[in-house]
Amino acid sequence: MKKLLWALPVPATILALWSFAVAQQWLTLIPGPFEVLLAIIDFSFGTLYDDAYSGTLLTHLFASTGRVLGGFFLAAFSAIPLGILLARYGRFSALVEPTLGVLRPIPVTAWVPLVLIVFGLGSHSAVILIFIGSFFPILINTLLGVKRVPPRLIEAAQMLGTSEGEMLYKVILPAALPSVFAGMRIALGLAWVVVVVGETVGVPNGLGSVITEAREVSRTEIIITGMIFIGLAGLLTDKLLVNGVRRALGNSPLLPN
Amino acid sequence: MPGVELSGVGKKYGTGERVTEALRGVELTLPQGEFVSLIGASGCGKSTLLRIVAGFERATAGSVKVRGKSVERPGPERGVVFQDYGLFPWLNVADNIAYGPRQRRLPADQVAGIVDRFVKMVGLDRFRDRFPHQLSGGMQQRVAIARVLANDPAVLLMDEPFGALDSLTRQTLQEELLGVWQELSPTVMLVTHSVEEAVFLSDRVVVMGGGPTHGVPGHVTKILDIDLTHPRDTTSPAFNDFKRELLEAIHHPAHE
Repeated sequence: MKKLLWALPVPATILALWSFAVAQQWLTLIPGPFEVLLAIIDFSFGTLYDDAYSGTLLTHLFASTGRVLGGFFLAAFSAIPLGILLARYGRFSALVEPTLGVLRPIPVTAWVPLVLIVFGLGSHSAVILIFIGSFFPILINTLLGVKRVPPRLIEAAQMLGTSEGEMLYKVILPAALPSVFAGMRIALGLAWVVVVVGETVGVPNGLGSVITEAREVSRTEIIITGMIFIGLAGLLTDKLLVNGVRRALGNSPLLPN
Repeated sequence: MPGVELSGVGKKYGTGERVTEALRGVELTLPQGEFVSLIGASGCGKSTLLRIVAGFERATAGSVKVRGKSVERPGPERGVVFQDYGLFPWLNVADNIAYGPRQRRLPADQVAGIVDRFVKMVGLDRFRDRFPHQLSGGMQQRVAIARVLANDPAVLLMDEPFGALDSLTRQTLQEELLGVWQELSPTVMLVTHSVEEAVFLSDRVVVMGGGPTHGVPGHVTKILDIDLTHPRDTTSPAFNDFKRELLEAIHHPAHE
């Protein structure tokens, strides 16, 4: 409750400044907070305007969230094992890392045309783009996390009777977990960036497509509505990830609160 | 059967021209239950010798046996206490202590009994649910000691275990270690920089000298029996005679 109280002044100030700027006609192309609030209500429940956006929140939200989670988990399930292998096996690393080094700096936006050509317009392409965007943060953080496991912990585990086969899940993974987890959070945040990029082309639903289409028909209040829901959805998925990992792994002191 | 038996132990690093010889010809036998300290200037190879007995490194010459068995790799019968503790930060005190017994696949009630016993022996009963980062250095080292004792080790290998602690904590832990040793009587090899610590705790003190910076491989220069009864009075003349003799041996080794 106290936390909520502390969180309120900043958005309240933004709203007040925004309101004032619109009232003074400093901002002429942007609707005021009240108009946006109405748009939010109509977008969520569809009781006010009865247009193409009325009551469509859940459809778009589920479409975007599905793509985000699909691409994100695809990335996590491939990047975590690959990161472990790269950190543990020098030969494998020598074979693969140079290629990854060239692929990594290519921004996701540069992948868009190629992905569209290969996978066509539609949901698949968005998921693939999110996969590409989420893959590297998870890979790099897993790789570093595993490489930076203190040798002392390996020695301690050895002298306490841990075999080489058990070392991975008994010591290396728990020790690398904070880094892997940090990579996953960065990736999930990026996934929401990429979903908007991915949905600008050729998909009929999703919050990204809502924003793109609203711009084409100059519905600025819908653009802002879409932005607010993307922010909320991103926050929500991050909380779910944090709580999910906490629940799965118990009360580890290595994880953020 | 001796607790630890080292004969002709040597260690070389590197190959060809760039080879450095860290240890040569170490002969040392510890009867079971003996407390031996290794002391000497930095680079004399005392820590290397301990790591060889632990199985973290392989000797390049000679043989290393613990209770008659050749040392091939690290194992729970040789518990190691590190200067920097090496506790698992994601496990609480109780789970750190339970780690070894669980690795041995002991039944849960037996593990609980072992944890209970050793968490009490090192005086951390009230802290069993705490994580390492919530404990002071002295408390962390107590956990580390309890963690290896939980494996009922034949040999306790300690590499400057109290080197990072303040002097009051160090004294307390030395006395506690002595208590533990008298109760469980493991064979102990302790590497230390402190002459006082060596004389206070040990049955015998092994002085080492040489090392790559001196142009001779690390080797044993002197072995001194400390025939004082416990508890030892660190201010007594006899105690200080031993200290003086050791300091002399460390700083002015007899040339061989």
